[in-house]
Amino acid sequence: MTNGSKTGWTVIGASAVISLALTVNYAQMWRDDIIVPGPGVTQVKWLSDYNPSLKGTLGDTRVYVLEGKEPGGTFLVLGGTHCDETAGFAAALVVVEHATVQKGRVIVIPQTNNTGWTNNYPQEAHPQFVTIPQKANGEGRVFRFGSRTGNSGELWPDPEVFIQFPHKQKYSGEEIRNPNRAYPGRPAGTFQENVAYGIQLLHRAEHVDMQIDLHEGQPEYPFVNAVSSHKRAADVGSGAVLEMQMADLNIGMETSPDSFRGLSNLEMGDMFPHLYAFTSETMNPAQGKIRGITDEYLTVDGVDAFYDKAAKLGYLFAPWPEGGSPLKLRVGRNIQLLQALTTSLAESKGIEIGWGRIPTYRDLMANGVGHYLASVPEGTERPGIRALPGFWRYLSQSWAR
Amino acid sequence: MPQYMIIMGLYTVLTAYILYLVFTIVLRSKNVWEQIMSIIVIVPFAMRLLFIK
Repeated sequence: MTNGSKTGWTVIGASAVISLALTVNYAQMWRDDIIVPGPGVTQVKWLSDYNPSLKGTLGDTRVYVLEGKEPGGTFLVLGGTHCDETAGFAAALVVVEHATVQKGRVIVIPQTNNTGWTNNYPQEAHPQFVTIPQKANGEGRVFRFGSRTGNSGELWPDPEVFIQFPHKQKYSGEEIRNPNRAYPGRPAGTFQENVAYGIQLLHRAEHVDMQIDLHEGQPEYPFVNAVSSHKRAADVGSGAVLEMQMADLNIGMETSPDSFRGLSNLEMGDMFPHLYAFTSETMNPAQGKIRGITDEYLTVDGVDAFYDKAAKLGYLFAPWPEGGSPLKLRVGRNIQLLQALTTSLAESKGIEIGWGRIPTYRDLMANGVGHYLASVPEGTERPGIRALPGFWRYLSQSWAR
Repeated sequence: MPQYMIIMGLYTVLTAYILYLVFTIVLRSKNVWEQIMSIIVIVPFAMRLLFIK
């Protein structure tokens, strides 16, 4: 063997080791996060219990039911529709792991777009994992930081133009993987339409009275620190805005335009005449285009010098808080909004959903998000890979057959 | 999803062929730096072969 070929084999060996290490690292995103059902959770279901065709796919996701002792209305909370919008997921998690319900039912899906948690959004330099601190030394619960859309492996290829069903509105091709363009869903449609159809079947089975889809937006986006309602739910939303102001929180409110199809609040509100449907947005610097260093601290601490400067120059649409837009502030706004909506629903429609234990915005600002998450029992392992993305799933299922 | 499987199968064959060509060049080369720099070509293609589908 010549010196040249020795070096060549060494290089090939080194490349193989690097590739394998990176693959093992990436595959960690295919494993579910640990979610510890809190004292308020009375039932844990799967979305495939409503739509069996999701079973065994990465579209299946856990559904937590918090049922109160007294009868009342049903409130569906959707978190993790866009998996890089951490505060939506984290607020749903606080409800699952900490909150209790006295009257009525709260149904929570913390990771609505489950396949979106298996990959990052390309070219955003986002972290794979985010730690929500629980101790003073920064230790805490670790969760994935996913993608805005679903994993392209599940529904490859993207078309040139995505035509939304059933309204035929045209979107860019990648929006075919966006769950918030797939509503109301259909059984034989795209992957995300099938997931949305699962949510539609959940609505039919559980008779949901009110729904909120928790989102985040970039600070330079016009619609942040705001709630969007189905036009029929504008009075409930307006009442919630007043409730938020009672808690010293300003929040914008608009009705979802009829010309923007496929959104959860618009399509579900149109489909179910008794449903009051909302979408909310908080201000996440990790999504913004003028952000600086993008790491897990950006979405948790929310500190970014470029946004400080942009705010001073008046380029942002919502007030940029002194010290940034940390996760506890965004989750606090979401949690306060959930309470504002249930109060408003009871006052304007007489449908009562009563919280038992739930933190307020001030609690979250004082104690942080980690304080309201459960401690994972020692020895608890992250669940294994329950379904491989796209090609590998098709291949493994073909072998199994 | 046969169309998906066929096209991804073809991508996989193409990736394997590109890797074969790079390996051949790396083993023949007498330029150490050229060989070391090949890591940045091999790793992305190897990862494509392993899991990016």
